Amino acid sequence: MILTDWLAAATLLLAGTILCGLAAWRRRAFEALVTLELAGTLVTLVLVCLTVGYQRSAYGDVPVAAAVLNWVGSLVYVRFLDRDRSQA
Amino acid sequence: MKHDVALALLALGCLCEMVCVLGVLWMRDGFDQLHFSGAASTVGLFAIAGAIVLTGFSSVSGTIDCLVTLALTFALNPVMISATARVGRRMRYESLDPTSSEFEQQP
Repeated sequence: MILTDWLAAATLLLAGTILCGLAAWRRRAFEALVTLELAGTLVTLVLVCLTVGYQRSAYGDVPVAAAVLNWVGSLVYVRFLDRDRSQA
Repeated sequence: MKHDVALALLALGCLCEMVCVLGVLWMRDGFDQLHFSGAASTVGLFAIAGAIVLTGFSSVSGTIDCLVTLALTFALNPVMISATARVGRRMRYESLDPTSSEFEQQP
């Protein structure tokens, strides 16, 4: 069973993610990092919407991993930005 | 009725997320953008969680997986935003301490 409402929501959120990506491309490091963090949250929500939309509980592990990896990845970027600042 | 409520909650959640995206795109200052980025893991998240509970899966484990994902995002995102704000402040002012002009603006 496919729930089209959820797939439409996933498409809308994916469009927001692409907009964030384009904005991050043009901005300075700090502003780009903030935009990247929002994009990570949106990607997690897109995966959740796809899981519900396709009604496959096996897909549910992917957004869990994405949520944790987005957090860890962003903190790594924050650490690198801080180290880059202190070395400059 | 249940389907309509779930649809309304899903639409509300998507609307909240898109407002956050537009806010981040609209704002020029990184600290203003942080407010919108942090808000993306609050109201919209709960609305989508409500929609998931009402829609449900054929098995309970799928619902639990999705709710755990949203709970993780809600719990971990503020830590990330706070760490980013601290680095941003150090990049701009070289210190986390309040500046003299900020002391003067205190009531």
